[in-house]
Amino acid sequence: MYAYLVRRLLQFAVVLLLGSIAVWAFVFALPGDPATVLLGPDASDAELAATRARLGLDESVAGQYLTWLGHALSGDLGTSFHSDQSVVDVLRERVPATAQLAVMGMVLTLAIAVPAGVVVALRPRSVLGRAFQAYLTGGLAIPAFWLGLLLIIVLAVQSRLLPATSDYVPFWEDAGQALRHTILPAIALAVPSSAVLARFVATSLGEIMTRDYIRTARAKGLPERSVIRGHALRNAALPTVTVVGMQLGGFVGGAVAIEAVFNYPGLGRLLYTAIGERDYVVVQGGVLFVVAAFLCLNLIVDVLYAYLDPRIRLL
Amino acid sequence: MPPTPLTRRSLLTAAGLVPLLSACGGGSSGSTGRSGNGIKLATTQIMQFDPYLTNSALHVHAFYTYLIDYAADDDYTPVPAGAEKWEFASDHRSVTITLRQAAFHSGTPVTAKDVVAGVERALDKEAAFTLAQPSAFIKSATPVDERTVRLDFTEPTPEGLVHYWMFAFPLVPAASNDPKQLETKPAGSGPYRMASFSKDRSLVLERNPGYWERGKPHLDRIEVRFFNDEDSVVAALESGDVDGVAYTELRNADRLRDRFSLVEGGGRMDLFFMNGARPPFDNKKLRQAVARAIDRERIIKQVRFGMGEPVYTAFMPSSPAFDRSYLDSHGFDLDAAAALLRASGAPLTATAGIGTEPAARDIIQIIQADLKKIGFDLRIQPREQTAFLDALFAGELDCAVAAQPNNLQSPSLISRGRQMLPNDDNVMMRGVVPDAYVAAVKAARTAIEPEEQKAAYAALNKVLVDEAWAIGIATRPSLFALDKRVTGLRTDPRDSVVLTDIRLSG
Repeated sequence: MYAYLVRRLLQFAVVLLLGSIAVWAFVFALPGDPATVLLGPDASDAELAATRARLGLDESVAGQYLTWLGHALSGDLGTSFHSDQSVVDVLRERVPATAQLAVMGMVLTLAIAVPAGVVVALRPRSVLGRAFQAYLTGGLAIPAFWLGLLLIIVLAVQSRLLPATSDYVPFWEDAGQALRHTILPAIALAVPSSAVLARFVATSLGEIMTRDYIRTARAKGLPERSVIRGHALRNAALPTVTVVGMQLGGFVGGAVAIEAVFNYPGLGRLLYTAIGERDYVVVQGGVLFVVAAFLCLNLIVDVLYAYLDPRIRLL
Repeated sequence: MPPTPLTRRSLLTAAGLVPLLSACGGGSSGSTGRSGNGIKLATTQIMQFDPYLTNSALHVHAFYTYLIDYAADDDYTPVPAGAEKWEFASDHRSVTITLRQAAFHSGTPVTAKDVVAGVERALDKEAAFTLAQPSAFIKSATPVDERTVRLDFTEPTPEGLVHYWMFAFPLVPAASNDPKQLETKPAGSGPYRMASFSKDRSLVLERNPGYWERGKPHLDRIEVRFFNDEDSVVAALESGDVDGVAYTELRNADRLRDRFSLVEGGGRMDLFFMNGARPPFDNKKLRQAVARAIDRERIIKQVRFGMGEPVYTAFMPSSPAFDRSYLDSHGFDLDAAAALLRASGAPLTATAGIGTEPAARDIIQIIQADLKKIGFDLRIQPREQTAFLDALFAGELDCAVAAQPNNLQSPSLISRGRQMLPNDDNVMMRGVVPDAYVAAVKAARTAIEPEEQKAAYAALNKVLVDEAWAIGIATRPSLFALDKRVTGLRTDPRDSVVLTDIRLSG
């Protein structure tokens, strides 16, 4: 198990380094000058050149990367062109907001997907089963941002029940406010992802229910509930864990549209703004954080998988 | 863990969750609704705090006092602000300014030395940005006493140009007047101080109790919330999350008109720029032909939703150089455009660059459709906004629609924008900037007597119309939508928000 972990951590470091090179290259390939964005269209060439020099943009792209990498290895991810704030501080401010939204989205996803998947797998022809099947189809078809807009129109603008725009209130400071501000974006995230997850649960559970060991468990006279809980669901959880890990990673890095729609001050919105402003170091730091978070989540999923299925440890 | 069976009770619980959440902490000041004598405004503008660098207009009058104000956004009568009085030398080579007795947010008094430090920075071309060009007429600044400063000019200078400079000159403590400090820590003597700032999230302003204008500002607190998306801004207003939106798009006017108070600011103006330094618009007759094919009325109706006024040259209607007669003599006329097009002998195609600004795209499409009627094929090449600006400033575009600031009281300030510079740095004319334009700008900058000024402005209009690389389309008013209980918001001639008179009733 330890050898497996060490191997994965080494892979982690290599992927992170390659990722940082790729992100740097991608960011610098974007057309547009950060100095122009910073100073506006009326700035003169001399002012633009002075700003470029101040930001270190007059060095070669490779030179800027190596300088950045040197600082990054000592924990300094640079300073935002626009706010003069350290990228580490910016991430420290935004990551908890995104993490809170991601966790809330995932809790809702699981709360919907697991019962929906079980009902669809075990009682597909019941009224509830048909209702869940309709939900799964709708959930897959509706884009999250569009659902977000609908939620804003119905629950915020028309009925004024919840805020149209979300703010980050830490859950441990004021749970009521935190829920109030996070519930709409969390629902918008959870509906499509729960539809995906529920299908995995349903397919996986449906397949497992036809296995010999399930028949054996039933033949032993175990009650159906015990068969499902003790034998079927635990085995069905294996592929589901992988999907949950990927979805959580997606929530951390991919909630850009949802954060923009709800004006939620998380990592996605930070990246959205930073790309528009050509704030290279913030984009680099933010994307690298997302890559690292994704790798971490994958690592956790793999370790969990290895724990749940001893055969994987031998690979 | 086994799934909880779905019961009728759990479904009912879920259905009741939303109203429950809506009740959660609804009265907290940290979420929605007003907090005491304060309001929340929403904007999509980017914030910068250095008044020498800023291109955002929502906070400059909050943090900083300028030497003078103008009476209204279309009235250039100077009104004392940071300067209590000022007196020009009879030869128009200097002005002596007496400062008002006032203090900065830190409590230290405003002195002549602060003005001198500010002028020195304004004369440093690399550190001044918005003030570099307007300060070019100043030779030196000398403190006379604690609250009096004398400015000496490089040559006799018209009062209007000096007034504009005074209007644009912020009072900043000498010790804080550097870009590094001001970028994050605004330090002025204006009606509001910064209570907190979180980039992309919110800026909280609190009343400056030591503000020099008695009884103002009226509000204790203004929170500005930042948005990336215009539709989210409007949703925030409609749902009551904020009390007003600043600089919202004109397309929202009809949607908001009945339920909110709309305030229009002077705004900027859109110009159609043609690149006279490269084919096909190096042909003056072709430029003149295209200039006659711009249907301003249709653009105002369809793109500006009926708001804004037509302009012909690069002057706003409130400018002393604005000449309405050109709208008649050189207005939209496709027959005249077709005749000029035939006379030009130029290629019948060009490519317009556009960024991501929807209104600019719509304007170009209207011009494209009209040009097609006279046989000219204007192609459109969309780019991401920053890439568009890069191409524009590199002189790589055949033509484009871009905004130009209000030139205020001093029409010589027309030459601020990079498409209008009277030298080879002009991105639309590069090495072919007309001598007549350079001379006209200089004359407008130095004309002192009213008759001289009038002649200089007429010459400036004439050369702009004849050379036709920068064709005025229409003003682009700024739009604010406010809860009906919020009153007193106005803009200055530069289209910056004046926050001191805002009140909240009820």
